[in-house]
Amino acid sequence: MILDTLRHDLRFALRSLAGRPGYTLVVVLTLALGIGANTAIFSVVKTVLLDALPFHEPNRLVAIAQRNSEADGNPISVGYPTLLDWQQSVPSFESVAASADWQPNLATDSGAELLRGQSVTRDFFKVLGVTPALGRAFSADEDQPNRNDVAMISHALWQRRFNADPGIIGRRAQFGVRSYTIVGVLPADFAPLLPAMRNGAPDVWRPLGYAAPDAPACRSCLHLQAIARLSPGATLASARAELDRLAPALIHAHADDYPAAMRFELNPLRDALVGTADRSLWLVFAGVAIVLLIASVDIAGLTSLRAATRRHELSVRAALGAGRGQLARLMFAESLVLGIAGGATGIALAFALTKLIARRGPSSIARLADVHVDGGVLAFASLLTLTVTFVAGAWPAWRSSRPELADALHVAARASAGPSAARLQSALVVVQIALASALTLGAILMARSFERLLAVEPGFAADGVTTIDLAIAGPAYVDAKKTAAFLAELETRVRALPGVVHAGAVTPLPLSSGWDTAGFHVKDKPELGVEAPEFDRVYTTPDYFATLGIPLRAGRLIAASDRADQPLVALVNETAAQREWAGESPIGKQIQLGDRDEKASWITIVGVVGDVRAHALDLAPVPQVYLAHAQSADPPSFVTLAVQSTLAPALLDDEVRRAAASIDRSVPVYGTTTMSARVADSLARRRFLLQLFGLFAGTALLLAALGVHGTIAHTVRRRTREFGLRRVVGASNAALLAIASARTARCFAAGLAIGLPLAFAWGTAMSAELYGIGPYDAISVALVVLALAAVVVLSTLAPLRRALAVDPAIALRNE
Amino acid sequence: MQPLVRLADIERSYPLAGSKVWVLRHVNLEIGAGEFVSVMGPSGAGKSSLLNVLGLMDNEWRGHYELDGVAVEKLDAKHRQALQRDKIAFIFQHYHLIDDLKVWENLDLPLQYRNVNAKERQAQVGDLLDRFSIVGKKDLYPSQLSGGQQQLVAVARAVITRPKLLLADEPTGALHSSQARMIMDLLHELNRDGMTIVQVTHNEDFAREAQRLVRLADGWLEKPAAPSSQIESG
Ligand SMILES: Nc1ncnc2c1ncn2[C@@H]1O[C@H](COP(=O)(O)OP(=O)(O)OP(=O)(O)O)[C@@H](O)[C@H]1O
Ligand SMILES: [Mg+2]
Repeated sequence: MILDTLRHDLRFALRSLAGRPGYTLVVVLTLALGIGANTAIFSVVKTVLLDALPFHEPNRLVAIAQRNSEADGNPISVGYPTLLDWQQSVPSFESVAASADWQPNLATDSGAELLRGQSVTRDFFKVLGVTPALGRAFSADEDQPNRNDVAMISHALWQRRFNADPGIIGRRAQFGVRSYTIVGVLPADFAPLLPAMRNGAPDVWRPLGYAAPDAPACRSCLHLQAIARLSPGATLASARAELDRLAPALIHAHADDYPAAMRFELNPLRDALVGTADRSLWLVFAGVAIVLLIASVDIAGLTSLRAATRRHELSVRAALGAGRGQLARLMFAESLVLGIAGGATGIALAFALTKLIARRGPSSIARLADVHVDGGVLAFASLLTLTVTFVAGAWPAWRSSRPELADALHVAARASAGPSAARLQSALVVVQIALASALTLGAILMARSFERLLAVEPGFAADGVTTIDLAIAGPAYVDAKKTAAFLAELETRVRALPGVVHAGAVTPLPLSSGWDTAGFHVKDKPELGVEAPEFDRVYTTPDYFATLGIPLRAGRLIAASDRADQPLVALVNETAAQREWAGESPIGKQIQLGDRDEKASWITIVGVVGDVRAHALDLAPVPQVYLAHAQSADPPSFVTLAVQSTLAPALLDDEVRRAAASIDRSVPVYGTTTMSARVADSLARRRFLLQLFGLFAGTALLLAALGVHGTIAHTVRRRTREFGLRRVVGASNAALLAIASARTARCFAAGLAIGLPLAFAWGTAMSAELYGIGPYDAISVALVVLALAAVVVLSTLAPLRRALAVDPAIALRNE
Repeated sequence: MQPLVRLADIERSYPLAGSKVWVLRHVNLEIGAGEFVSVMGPSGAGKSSLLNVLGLMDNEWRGHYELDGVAVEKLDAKHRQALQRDKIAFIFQHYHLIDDLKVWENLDLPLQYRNVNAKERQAQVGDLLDRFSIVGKKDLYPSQLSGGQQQLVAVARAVITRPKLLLADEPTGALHSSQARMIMDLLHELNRDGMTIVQVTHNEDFAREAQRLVRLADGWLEKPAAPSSQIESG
């Protein structure tokens, strides 16, 4: 019998909802947005921020680094002997390991492939808690100089380059300059996304093979990234305390190797990994919460209004013998239908959006590719919005007493909500407008920051520039002259291609990673303080400046004649010139980089070039020194060839590959892209955030529009008769509009009054993501008010038109 | 003969600005089984309020109300509702059919609320459609009917549960005279079949068609509350 009536109730709900397609669509859409958009974004935040790392007992994993001074931004490295000291003297560590980047070439028939790799200490895989899928991990024996010719490879490389050969263990393979015995293959799901490895998982590992204390295994050779597994029972605090006791002892024992302010920094590995993505993701998280709140408020408003308009029907049913439970079940049935439709649409939306975010998001956010719809999250968002739907829908049926119901029967049938429902509805609209104004200001501030960033003068001309990465390494290039010769020959051949205007090489390219700073020493200038200033060190070939359109400000550029056998020359950028020789010309000054050595040769500054925003468009230029690649005794092997041409990048890539192969086919050519694309990529994170916050603001405005529309449409419907009467006594259009929109106008004003302070707070919270603009930007605030006013006006147009169109005769005939 | 309804000293007030406004004052009224009573009075006199008390839609009155031998004031809300389901039905000036339900579904609804099984419901609805000659209209929605036809359906819906007491609040108030006549004829027919009817009306002629006429003014009943001699003679 219960089932029978429930079936009736459901059928009735379907029918009456079908008769109100506007209302039904609005509620279903609101539910879908509330569930779908929020689940998708929440899933991203959860995977990236909250989920455990894909390792055994990940909470016991920490990252440790050496901090030399408080000014050290975000230290990530340590020297080898210090690592050994941690291993010995910090009982809270069960095991300690370190890794360094290793990028060997894998020579093949089809040309060289540059692999991502890591040199790791013996316990690396033990710390992470990973067992190889095939073979074994490294032994302590193998982590020694000249014994480390063994390698482990990733599952992917094993499949890609070794045809998943089950007999791979024990075979030898050539990686870079040496040949290695393969001892293990890692499991397919092993993805050691350590801080340095954000851009992809490594494919090959070898033992570090260091012996202290000689370089590179010296205390001040800070280039290893350390991780540790905490002992059972140890805590972050106990480990930190032990490190804090160890640091002064080490400073005392090795005063030459550590600055006096040195200390060790320990963080959960996840924090180190997620790093800077952290803050912006929490902002996204807050945005989700606000949108969810708006959606819930919207649903509460819509369903409670609908319930109020059903009061008359409920009264009739009560008079026909329906009990309170039966009435509530009726309302429940409608909520159920709405909930199922909205929930299903929302879940579909959640999956679609999550896929979109995982695919379109910037690769700089670690683990974004792992993102999947989170069941718990989906359940949370669904539960919240559906609960609101049910409660707001069924509550009026429970609440209304029989006399109240009886009253409704002795007056004309009217689709009206009592004054209390109207008041509630107004309050909900105020809340929606307030929250929407905060999210809108956030999105507008971000858009305006982005616009300013796009207008930033980067100091170079990206147009027509294609960049191609080269790895000039291997046994043939131990002699620096060979590297220079290869590069000079390649540039000559590329320049000879029709359509090529300039070609020059640089390490590192602006907006790429891999920046290297060095202590800056000036001859005959007494050094103040303990430490020399650190300037960026850049290696270039002569044509680089013309290729990127970097202007010469004084003196001359590096020339082809600045060969290894000639006096050493350097250029400085304007910031460096200003910093070191304010008001004076730097031309002719002599400098050294790195360690000061009066007996070693000095480098002469021959020119000053314009500033380049080399690290990021939103970072002011830093002092930089350009050295001649050809004069370096130890030139970087990884260089980027920049080519100014009219050729398509793909075509140029082909030509450069051919040219490089004709000189030496063991040199890999990779990573061809355009300078404009690199500029765009450098803004990818901001663009992604802008898109997310745009989505928030759009959703919020849409929801607010639905809410406002619902309220005023209801007002107009309820007061149809009154409008007719006013028409009869001669009210003008303006007078009717004023009456019909008075409540909405009040809600709008109140919403802004609450919303703007909220918006300023929200803008302040996200100020770290802004560039060149603060939350109190007048134009942005004006845009917010305008946007909300537009939303309110647009969503009231249709109901207001209905109000004006009320035919007095029809309105009065009802009575 | 045992009266169907006995009201003794019924009082009803609403709180108003810290004090009370009285809508029913010391109402004493007996209605015999099978009687047809008209209630008249100026607007705001308390007629609808009296019907609410009689129909058990209102629980906030004071006094003594005996319905078919049961002392209502002793019942809790649940039992009052059960009593209402058993004995009472309403018709209203504004028909109050449910817009989203077809004619036959409107008739079906009271039976559903009384947990009658589907087969039995179908039979009863069919009978009634037949008896009221609205079989052809059974699949129409209320908005597709004239006012008189809607009220006809409303009466049918009221009587489908075979109530002892039919309460009609201005049942002809919204109808043209010919349709009003039809509804009055229908009420007489139901009354002849034994149903007790209390109707509120502003129409003197229709009021006089009843066996007894009582008048309300400012919550006071004007005529003596005893059954009139008309009953013995009629
Ligand atoms: N919920 C309420 N709160 C306060 N006063 C009420 C309420 N319901 C009715 N009243 C008052 O009770 C009095 C009687 O109302 P009632 O509806 O019974 O009059 P009526 O005789 O049916 O009038 P009409 O002929 O206009 O239908 C009126 O003065 C009315 O204002
Ligand atoms: Mg009345």
